[in-house]
Amino acid sequence: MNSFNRIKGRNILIDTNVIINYSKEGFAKRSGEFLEELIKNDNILYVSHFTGFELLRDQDEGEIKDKYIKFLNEVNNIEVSFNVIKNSVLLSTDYRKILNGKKVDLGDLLVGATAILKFRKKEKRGVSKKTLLLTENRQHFPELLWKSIACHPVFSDNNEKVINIFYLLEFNTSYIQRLKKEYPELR
Amino acid sequence: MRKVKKEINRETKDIRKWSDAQEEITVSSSLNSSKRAVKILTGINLQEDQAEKLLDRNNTEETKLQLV
Repeated sequence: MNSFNRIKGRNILIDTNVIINYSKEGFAKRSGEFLEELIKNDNILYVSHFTGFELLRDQDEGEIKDKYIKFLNEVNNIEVSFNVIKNSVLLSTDYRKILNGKKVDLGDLLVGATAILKFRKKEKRGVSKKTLLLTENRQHFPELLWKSIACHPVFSDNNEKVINIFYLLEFNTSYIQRLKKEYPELR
Repeated sequence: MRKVKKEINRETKDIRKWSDAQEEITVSSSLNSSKRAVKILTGINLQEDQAEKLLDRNNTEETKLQLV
């Protein structure tokens, strides 16, 4: 699997858990500043409006809330639009087939449904690349539907153990196409 | 007859509206705002217990859907 420094010129949607981890004191440095490295390689970072909700809900008024608001006002936001809701419906159908009745987090569903979309910049022409999803929760995104493109481990201060692994995932459209072909009655 | 046909057409259109997967959206975004946002993020300086609280809150049963 690739390391993050091989990823160039992509649109990357960041999951809430990455943002929370990255805002911990000293974490960016300990993790090798991987978000800064991704930006250096011309990758553009995005968050879903739902991530904004997850960061701010039930937060007491104060410095942390103010800083998250500042962050959300600055970062590129993708709204939870009708298109995202439609993709969530389709994704939940596929999750149901794969996960066999297991519970799915609503946030993961909405963030996943957003990452299925290709983000095209207004002024850009040609074919857009698939969006990548940056998350720590690999197990929340079923492997049949989400391919791991790259990963980045973060080690403890004494370098003895891995404390986090972050993944860049890409939606596996070929799986859906195959499923549609083999089981047309499923949709 | 025409009314029924019109109604069926409308329903088919409505279903399609709900079932078609959307593949692409137009966005306005920039590398510079990504840079500025990450700078703000690293300045938040959350303590370990505050981060745990936030992570736990977003992982509770109340936000989970049972897909059966």
